[in-house]
Amino acid sequence: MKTLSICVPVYNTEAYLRRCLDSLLVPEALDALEVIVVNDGSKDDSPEIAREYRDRFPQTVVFIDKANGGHGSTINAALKAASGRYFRVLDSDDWFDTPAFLHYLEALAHCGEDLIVTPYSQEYTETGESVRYDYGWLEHDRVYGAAELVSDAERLYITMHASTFRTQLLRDCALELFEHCFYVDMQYIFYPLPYLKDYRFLNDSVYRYFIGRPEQSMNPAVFLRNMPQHEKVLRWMIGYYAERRDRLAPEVRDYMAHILYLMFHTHMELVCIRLPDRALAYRSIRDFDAWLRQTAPDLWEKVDAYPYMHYSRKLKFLNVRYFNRLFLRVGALLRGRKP
Amino acid sequence: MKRILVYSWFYPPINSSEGLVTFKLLNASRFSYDVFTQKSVDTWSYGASMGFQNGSNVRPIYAQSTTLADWEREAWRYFVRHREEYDLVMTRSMPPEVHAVGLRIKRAFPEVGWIASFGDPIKNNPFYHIGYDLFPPFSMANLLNRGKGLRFRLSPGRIARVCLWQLRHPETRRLRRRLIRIEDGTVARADRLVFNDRSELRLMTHTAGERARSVVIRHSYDAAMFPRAGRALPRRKQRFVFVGQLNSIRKAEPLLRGIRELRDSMEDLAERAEFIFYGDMPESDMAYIVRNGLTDLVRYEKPVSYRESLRIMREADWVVHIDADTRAVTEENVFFAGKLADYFGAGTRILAVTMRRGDAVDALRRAGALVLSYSAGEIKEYLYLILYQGWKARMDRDYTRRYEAGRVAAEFDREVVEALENRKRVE
Repeated sequence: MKTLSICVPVYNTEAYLRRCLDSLLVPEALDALEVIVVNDGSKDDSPEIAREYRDRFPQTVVFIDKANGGHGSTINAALKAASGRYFRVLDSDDWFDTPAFLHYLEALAHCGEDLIVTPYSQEYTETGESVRYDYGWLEHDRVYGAAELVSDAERLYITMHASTFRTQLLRDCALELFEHCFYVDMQYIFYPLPYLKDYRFLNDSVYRYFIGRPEQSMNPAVFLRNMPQHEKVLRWMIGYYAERRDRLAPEVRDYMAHILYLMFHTHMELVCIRLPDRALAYRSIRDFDAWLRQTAPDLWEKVDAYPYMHYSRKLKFLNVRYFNRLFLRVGALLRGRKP
Repeated sequence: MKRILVYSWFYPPINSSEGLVTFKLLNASRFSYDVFTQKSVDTWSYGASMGFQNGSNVRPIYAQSTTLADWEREAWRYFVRHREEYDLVMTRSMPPEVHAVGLRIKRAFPEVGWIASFGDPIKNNPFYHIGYDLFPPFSMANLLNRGKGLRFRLSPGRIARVCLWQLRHPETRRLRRRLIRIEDGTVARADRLVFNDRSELRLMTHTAGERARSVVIRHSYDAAMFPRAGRALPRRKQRFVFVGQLNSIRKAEPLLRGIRELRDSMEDLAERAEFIFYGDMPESDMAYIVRNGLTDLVRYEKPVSYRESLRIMREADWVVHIDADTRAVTEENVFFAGKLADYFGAGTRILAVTMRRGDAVDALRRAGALVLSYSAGEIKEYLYLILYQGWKARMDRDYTRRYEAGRVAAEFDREVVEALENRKRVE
């Protein structure tokens, strides 16, 4: 049995795919590794590149060619095909740091926990800078119980780029991500949380998250276009949380609630600031807030505990747009840069 | 047919990329040329070097002038005196002022055919917009301001600043106007426009008429100029070599950062690799090498002769190509470096640090080069794969042979015939 299955979703990334696969397919890794390249109906030469790698590494690379169904559909397909003990996702425009990856793969062979957490870096192409997210509060090679999940203003939650899940855990929780939908990475990290027993931290900064493609989903212009999908994922996550909250350990519940708060906060700011139709923006966020109060009153209360959210609600969210603009302008004035 | 008169400020023995590409092209052509040039000024070059033997079809004519302005006047006088000897004139930039000679000839003698061959773009050359301050910082003509909104465009403060800047920099303003006049005039009046890549063509031509007169003729390599000796014996270290000019915009820093990051994680890197830069290097890069303790890995060597550079390229394990990062002003890379053709000719693996888009970038990909972005993380990753995992780029010789001087010159000859026919139609 292979140690690790890596799902590589591919959609029109011919310029990046080689870099992604080159970083994985090194001789020392081949025996322990399964790379599932899932072509999501690309219109460029990506499938040819993927086939070339499958032919070069037939024992390691599995190629799935499917009609377009979005990021979630590729993960769903890869999970069905995965034969490795562990499963993780590597987007085809990103790559792994190979020395760190080899070290991590070696350690992974001796792991049995539900989740393995590793640091990652964001690589900014515009500036050439690299920003590392290192989960510095976790100790290398230590096993933590699910009740030790923490996330607050200072501590980042465990993102998809940091996560390696036990394959069986993902199957046990019947992971099925939305198709034709962006932001399913949030769904992906949220699904297994109620089932999680323990996790281990390995201090190998493996994932390199490439920032700078204009068509990336967190690009503000793209986000505006895909806002309904962001809301769809957020509503699903809140519903998922609400259904299970009574059966969750308090720490896991707090952790999930914190992720939801962060996502709600992002959603609120982007809707209020980016949506050109202001009346629609305020109506949309107020409706959403009312729905949240009805669906998950405890979560609504938790969100209200944050003063900014509390006063935003009091002001019917009218402050968000102007407060943020003012804040940005004052900040820019102090820094001497344009907002 | 009569000989063709070529105006080129740079030409061997002056060791400059512009002159070398002209030299290789003309010597492989089936037509006969007189090349009006100079050999007394070697600014913007690597000095003069021996060993360039022109073919029987090329005859250089060296002007006496020591300034570009005098050279222009001398070039004009030469044409007036020898008018009857030529049907066709070709001007080759850089510098852009060479085309001013063609423009003057075309105005005075419209029946003379004129091929204008561009090195780099002129008025929209990204270097003029990013670093060389040819355009006022707040001017809408400055490409850094493209895409700015109406509020910026109509701002009285912006307009006042532009006016103030113009008043304070009268010489820059005159130079800019002259360059714009040269490019616009050349693009409007030349019979054939020759560019070295499609990205440059897109940047410099705007109408269907201009594009109909335009053609892309690639830079080329001359296989006969490469040393005949066999490849050097295998070395303990892999050698990465950069040959050419770096400056404050086209700099090695992203590559150096990648090297530093890899060195920080792999202590034995200096035993596996050496990086040698021949040519010019900006002080910021040199300081980076020293400050980050890369001196045991990275070496900076003085410029070498062209033939020596070909030997170095052929003997290296990897040749390094670096393009200026001009994403702030252009969507794609608009430069096709002359040495790329020589890299192709050397057959050595190429590691390119460049923009994601552009004609030269596409050519590198098709040639099988390793094309990397300016991300230090990505560069580090591939250096690791090359040095520790035996990763190799696979160069496509069938593709790179298209850049052989004979093939490129055959395309150029077709354009010459076209220009001559166009001249006859005018007559």
